[in-house]
Amino acid sequence: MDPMLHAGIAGIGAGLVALGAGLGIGRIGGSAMEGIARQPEATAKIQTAMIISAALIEGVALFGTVVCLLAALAK
Amino acid sequence: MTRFLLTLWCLTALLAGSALAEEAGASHAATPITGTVEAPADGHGDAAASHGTAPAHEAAAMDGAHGQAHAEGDVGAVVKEGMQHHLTDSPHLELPLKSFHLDHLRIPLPFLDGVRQATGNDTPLINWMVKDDDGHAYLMMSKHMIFMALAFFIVLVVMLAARRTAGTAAPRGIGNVVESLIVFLRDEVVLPNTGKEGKPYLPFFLTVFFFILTMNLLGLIPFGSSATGNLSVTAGLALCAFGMMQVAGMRAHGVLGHFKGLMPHGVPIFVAPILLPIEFLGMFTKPFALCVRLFANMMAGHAVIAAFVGLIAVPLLALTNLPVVVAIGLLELFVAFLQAYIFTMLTAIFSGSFIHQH
Repeated sequence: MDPMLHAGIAGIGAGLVALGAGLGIGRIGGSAMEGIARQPEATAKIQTAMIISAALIEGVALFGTVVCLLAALAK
Repeated sequence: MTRFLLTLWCLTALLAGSALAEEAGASHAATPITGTVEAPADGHGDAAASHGTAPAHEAAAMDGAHGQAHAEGDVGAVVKEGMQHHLTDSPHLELPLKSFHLDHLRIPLPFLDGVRQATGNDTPLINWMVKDDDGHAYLMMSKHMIFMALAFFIVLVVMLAARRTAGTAAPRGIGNVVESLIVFLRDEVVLPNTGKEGKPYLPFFLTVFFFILTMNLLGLIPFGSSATGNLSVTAGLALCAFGMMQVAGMRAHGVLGHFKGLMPHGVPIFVAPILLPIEFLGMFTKPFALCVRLFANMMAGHAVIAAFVGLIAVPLLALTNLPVVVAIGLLELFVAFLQAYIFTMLTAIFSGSFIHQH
């Protein structure tokens, strides 16, 4: 029972992590698209910056995911 | 043409799935988990089946040590032993036809005998590497170490081959690819962030990028595993990045100047007790973040793939799960390149911030 409880709560945690990452990267994507719409000739720069920011935020999300995985696999 | 491919796909998926189901349901005999894992006989060549044979190992290993866990209903242990087999380091190297025990390839470390005898066999940090069978300390070989050495040789061979045409007026072949990557890294990643003073450090950044890229990509081939999915490997890389940052700062400003530069100019002195610890701690948290980011990205990709393949309980499910596995594999390919690029770029940015103090 106990390991399953750990796993269940860790699952909720992982879902929250995904929620946070989705919100953050969604905002980045949205403002990137607005920027490209306003100035199509800056597309390459905006895309690069967007990918970099998305990778950084995803790093944070994966920190959280690893913590959830550790919690799920704890005895 | 598409109908032919679709039929071929269904057949291979069903065969792979049935191989999995057969392995899982075959025996609940308590074969030891460290015994050789024989791959089920199949002659498939495409990616779907290759993904299928890898989890056959997992399924076969599942029977072994936790036939008992199955009986006890301990879901956590079942999941852990089924999946961890694929995600973590292991003393076995599994190839399509043969599985190698790497336990026998060990290097004696006589100077650590005292440490080993004092700490015993279960000390977490050194449990893996320095193992004791007969009172002596050994450096054990593991799967990820083999793949690190393989990545080293691949990078070496590719660079040596690229030297023929790269840098000339008309690079061709592998030299072209390598040169375009190196020029991209030099002109878009390293030099804009570190400035002219960063030019001597360019070989380090290029090495880091290609090494990490190769290790990440090796995890995508069948029977391969990415060494960067191991916290120790990424910790070693982060340690090198940390050294790079310190060396870059100290060579630009001297040892004392490097630490004095943690306080920006024009900042009132009473802020120093708050700012200095934060900046000093930041010197350590940045490589730590590099380490965990790379590790988590690589391990998460493999964990998702292992989870999806592990969901194949019935051969028919292979039809739905394996396309998802392929799609996630493509995403992982993108992530492999992206994470190598991010690691290199962040190290360049941090080194540049120590070279050009405010």
